[in-house]
Amino acid sequence: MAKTQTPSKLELELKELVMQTRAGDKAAYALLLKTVVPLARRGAMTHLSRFNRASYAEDVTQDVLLAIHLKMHTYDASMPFLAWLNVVLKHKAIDFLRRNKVALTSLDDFEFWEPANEDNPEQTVIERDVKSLLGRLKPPAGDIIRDMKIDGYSLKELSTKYNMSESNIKVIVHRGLQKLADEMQKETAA
Amino acid sequence: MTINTNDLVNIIAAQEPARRPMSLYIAAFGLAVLCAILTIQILGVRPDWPMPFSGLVKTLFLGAAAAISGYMLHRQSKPLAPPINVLPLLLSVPFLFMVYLGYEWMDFNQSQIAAQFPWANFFSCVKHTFIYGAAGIVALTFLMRQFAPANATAAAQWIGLCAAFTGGLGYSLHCPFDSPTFIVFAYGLPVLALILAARFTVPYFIKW
Repeated sequence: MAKTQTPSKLELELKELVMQTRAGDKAAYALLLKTVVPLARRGAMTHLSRFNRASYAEDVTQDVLLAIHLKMHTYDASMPFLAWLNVVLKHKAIDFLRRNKVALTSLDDFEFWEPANEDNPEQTVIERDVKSLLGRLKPPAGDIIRDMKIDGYSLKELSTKYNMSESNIKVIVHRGLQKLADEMQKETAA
Repeated sequence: MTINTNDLVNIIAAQEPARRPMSLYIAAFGLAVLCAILTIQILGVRPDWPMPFSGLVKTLFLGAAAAISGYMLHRQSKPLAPPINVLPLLLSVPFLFMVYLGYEWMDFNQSQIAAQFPWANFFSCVKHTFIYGAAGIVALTFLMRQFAPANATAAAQWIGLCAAFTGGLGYSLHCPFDSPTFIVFAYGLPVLALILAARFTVPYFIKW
């Protein structure tokens, strides 16, 4: 049986803070907000810089904090908190751009942002390169591999999401990773 | 930007996060009950009460449609919902209804079906379902403002659908005509009108 991806340390930490906040712990709420600020700021800069609006990242960060305060009850504890935060950030960034009449070519142009790994900054660069590599695979292989290896979805969740059998998912992941390994070998050889 | 982010964090952290409001699913159920009570009090129950089996089938179809649309509305109210394959759920009621409709057209001829389609009742059905549904849209929109739908347009359409089916369900306690063909037009038309009305008016009010 395939192993389920374990959530990252940051994800577990944030989820625990959310649960404590829901139990009425104000200190946990303050810590949650303080932990979210650099994540939201970095994500906002990533989204806005594509439209030359990086200087407004702080505004979007504050919008995200307000959204957390007002809408945290919409977070479903069975889902990853970072995924929820990512959707909120994306929503606020798009809102900001529309308010400022910046043309958006397509909502699908907003790639998923992953928070930097505070323990290992090099990991951030590696994850960015991986995303670029995954984009070379025929859909939905890249999306499936990203969901499994980066976002931590289990085989069962992926099977439901993509409406495929678990064995099919495993085959796609295996072949996709094999193809990526081959491409990286060719690049190294070149 | 007029406030420092750290100051904002301190201000927000001093308060509790917003409480979870009433579930949209429960609100939809409440709307159905309210419509039923209003129907019984103002219009009265159908003349052939207790309703025959065909009336029960009609009520079940409308009830199932209202329940499913209430569930979908609940899912739409969050930025991120669990990844569940809802297609079988969404297709089940229309599929079964099509079977029911096909059964009527196979078993009865056109004049028999037309006899089950009195225009006075048709207009009454459309009018009352529309009125109930419009009021339901207003109520659900107010409630949805406290949530965070990822897609405001989709959420608006589900508000229209849910409000329409709960209104239709309430009114069905008065309406004595159970022909599937009658249901398609007498309830289907106001459902369609309410979805469109919600789709083009509600998104503005539920943006967050």
